Amino acid sequence: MDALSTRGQPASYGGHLRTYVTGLVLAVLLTLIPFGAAMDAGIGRDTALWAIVICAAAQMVVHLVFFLHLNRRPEQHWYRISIAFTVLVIAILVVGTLWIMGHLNHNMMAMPAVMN
Amino acid sequence: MSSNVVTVPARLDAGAVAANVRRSDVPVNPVFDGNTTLGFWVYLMTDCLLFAGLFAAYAVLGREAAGGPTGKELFELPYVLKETGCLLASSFTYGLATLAMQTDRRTGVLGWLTVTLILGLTFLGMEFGEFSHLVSIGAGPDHSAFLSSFFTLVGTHGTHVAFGSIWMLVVIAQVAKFGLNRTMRTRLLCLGLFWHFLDIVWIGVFSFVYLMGTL
Repeated sequence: MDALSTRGQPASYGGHLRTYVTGLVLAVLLTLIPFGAAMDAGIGRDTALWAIVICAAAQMVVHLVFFLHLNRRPEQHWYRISIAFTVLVIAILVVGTLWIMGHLNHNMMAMPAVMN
Repeated sequence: MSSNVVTVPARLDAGAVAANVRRSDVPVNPVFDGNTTLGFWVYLMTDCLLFAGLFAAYAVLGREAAGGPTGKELFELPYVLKETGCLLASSFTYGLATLAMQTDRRTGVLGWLTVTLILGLTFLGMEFGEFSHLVSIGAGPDHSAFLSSFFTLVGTHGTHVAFGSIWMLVVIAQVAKFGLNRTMRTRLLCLGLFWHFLDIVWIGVFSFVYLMGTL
């Protein structure tokens, strides 16, 4: 029995009411915290930025675990492999874009100074 | 899981003979078609890449307002919080529909799907209201690189929700007509993957577009 013959269980099947309620409570918290951080002028910009990034990442994991029921069961092997690969490609795409375009921006802005 | 697994009657075809595998060795899930759900999951992963490209474009162009209005001036966070609430609640109610499906409660499935559809349509209506407001005050997608990338990213997500809603309407009609057979359970699971996935993309949208845009 290789992984291909055990692919019966998709993510999103096999949950319980408890899992969905836990996921909802966590998701609501992880939504209210970044909105509060962004709307409260008293919080510093950097603190708010970090709160937004961390809560977004945490809430994505909460949705995957509690709503899509992504877990360590062997029948979900290909679900995990494919999402891990996708996360890697997204990281290369987004980080690479920001890196390259940041450098281009930097070079473009340096030009007038050189010409003067 | 093992109680769910039955074997199909031995049926020899050319491929199986060539691979020296008897068909009866392969367990078939009688509850739903696991091949279809895995294939749909792989499609969703490619859809992630589409959104990653749009997020990357927005990350580069989001501050290039061309002298026009910026996100800080345009975004209304309380409004976005209500949109987020609609989508999050709809993800939860779809979960309740999935639970009803697992225990073969057809009216429960139909009821929760209808609630999910209403929440999805409310979200779409709010997003349409926001877009038409922006266009009416001259902040349409043609105004700046920031607004072009904003409308493309948020609009692509909205288009997904719109197609998900049409799909949900179809599935509601099919469940009402055919009941919860294996095919319908497979379709319900695929639509569920799609719907939960759209909510995950929205987390990225409200965090990186709206919240960061107002900082």
